[in-house]
Amino acid sequence: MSTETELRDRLARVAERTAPPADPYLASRIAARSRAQRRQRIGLTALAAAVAAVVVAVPAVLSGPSAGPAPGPAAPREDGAAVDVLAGPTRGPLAGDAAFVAAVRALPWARPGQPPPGDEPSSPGIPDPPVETRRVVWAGDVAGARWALVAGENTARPRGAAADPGLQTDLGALSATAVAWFVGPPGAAAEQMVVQDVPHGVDPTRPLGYSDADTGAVVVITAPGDVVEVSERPQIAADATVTRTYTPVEAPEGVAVLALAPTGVDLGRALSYRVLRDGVVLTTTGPDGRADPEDVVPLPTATWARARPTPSPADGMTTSMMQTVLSSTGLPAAEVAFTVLWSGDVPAPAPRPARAAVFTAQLPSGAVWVGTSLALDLGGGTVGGTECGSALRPAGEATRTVAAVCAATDMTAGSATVRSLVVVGPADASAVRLLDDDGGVLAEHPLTDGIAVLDAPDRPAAVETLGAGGQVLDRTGPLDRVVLD
Amino acid sequence: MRAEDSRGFEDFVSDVQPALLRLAVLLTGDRGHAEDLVQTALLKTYRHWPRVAAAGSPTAYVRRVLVTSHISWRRRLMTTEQVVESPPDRIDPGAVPPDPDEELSAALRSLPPRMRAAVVLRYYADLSEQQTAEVMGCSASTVNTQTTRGLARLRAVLAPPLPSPAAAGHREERG
Repeated sequence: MSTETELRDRLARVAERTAPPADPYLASRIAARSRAQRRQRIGLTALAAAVAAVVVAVPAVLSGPSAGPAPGPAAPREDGAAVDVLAGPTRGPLAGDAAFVAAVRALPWARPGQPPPGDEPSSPGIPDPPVETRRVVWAGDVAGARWALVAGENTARPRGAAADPGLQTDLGALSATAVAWFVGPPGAAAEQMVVQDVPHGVDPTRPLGYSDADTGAVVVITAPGDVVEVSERPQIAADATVTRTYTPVEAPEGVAVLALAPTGVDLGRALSYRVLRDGVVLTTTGPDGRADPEDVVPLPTATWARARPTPSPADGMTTSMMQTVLSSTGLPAAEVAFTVLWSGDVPAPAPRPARAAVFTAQLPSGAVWVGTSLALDLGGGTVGGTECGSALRPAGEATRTVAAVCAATDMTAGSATVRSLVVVGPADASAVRLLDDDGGVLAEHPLTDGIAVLDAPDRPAAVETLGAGGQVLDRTGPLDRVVLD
Repeated sequence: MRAEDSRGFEDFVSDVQPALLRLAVLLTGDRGHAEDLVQTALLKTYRHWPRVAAAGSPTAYVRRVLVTSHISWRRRLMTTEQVVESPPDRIDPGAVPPDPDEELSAALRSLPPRMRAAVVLRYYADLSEQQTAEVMGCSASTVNTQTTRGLARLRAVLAPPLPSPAAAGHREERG
């Protein structure tokens, strides 16, 4: 046998032996993730926060489809007549102030400490359009501030092979147009306006939205004549179904300016707006936004169902995940009751274990958000983490069994992944049974105080918690992930 | 995305996912990263699905995205992440006889990403030099160079699968 033939045979054998099993729900997960990512924009505030907290999502970059039945909005129409929503003369109450508009147009897009343009074609930095290509799209006063949107030539387009549309995770990266929002205090002169968020390439045919969690200000910019409808937050009913109600808002010149109740939590997660043109939904999405990391956001407080573990710096990730529940639902902390069902260490490929937690959030309707966190203390005040899944459950199911697969890495390139199955059952459950797709028993393990942390190289299809007499108390699948459109 | 496009994408994922996972695990050497890589490649494909499907070769497209994403990941990680000692999955020679396939996996993981991709695409995916070049976004001569060097580095573990005394001695020398 030749070396090349042997290599072919052995590579095929290695691939066959080591490839992960196919995921029958992968297509739906990808669709859900795509919808979620279209709503994401990373702001400068997020970049600053990332310096202190490296959030690595490698092991859980995807999880399951939305746990609750969430009737989605009308499907965006991809083939509608394309209109440049940024075109035309400056709009807004300050459009007639020629001196102000001219001065804002000339403001620098770069900020002190901004990362310099990259050397690699795939990472050419942040757009900084030549002034002669810029135009002020809108300028006006909003709740507690003065805002302006400026568009210009996108000088940060990927080049060469990196310009392949198939390689882009940001749909606007290849666009010839980039935008930047400028913010100043109420009545600000032009020189008091400072660029906010990260200037980035955009598809100029898609409406743009921007929000400020601290003031509740929201601006949506689309083409004149379009209809703008807003849903402040998803409604999660007692049976865990998720719906949204959209209300039309005034949008003279294609610009809607809203003043919502400030929450201090990023509005972009819960708030959704949709734009209709000729009666057809053009887009349904959330606004970009800012939330000042220096602001003191009320931290959720929680009760503990079991004894707390030895404190770890990584415990802060649990609070962060609870805040994500608040920002996703748009609910104030006072209206959500958090309970930590369990927290403790799980194996990780690092010198120290990872810290995991399972918690519930009782929503005003009675529905229950089951959340998790997985974090690693990286030292030096840095904590990295992700989640092990989440679910929405109907009212009355707060005490049901929770099973979560936590995939821990050491958060470095090429790290091995250690998967653990965390089972949190009723306190009177004495054992857990792991089941395969056909209901066959894979293994059975004892529970201590209703808890088990098990090696889980393979994800079970379901688990059953058992009483002392062997009777089945509950049956559930491992958590997927809540995605609220 | 229209409903019929969505159904087409679901069928496509169902068809290609097992093969993509096998290719990805050879490229990454890790099941978890292989899953992430396949999901990333399919996500990028999903975003352009109507156009990709209309072009008539979605499998070639997603494979190219998968390979270039992998190479891009590795390059980005190597230039921005802190340097870490990569703990190779060593087999304790005193415990069990070495698994030749595990040795091949470890040797494959030790290759630089582009070299590994060239070897895997040529000898696992059975692509020609030109096809491999198109997938990797480089010239055929580069593929030839990378493949030749990769084979040379793998040749030590492509000795007879059952370790002979001479082969065992050679492994000890490497260390």
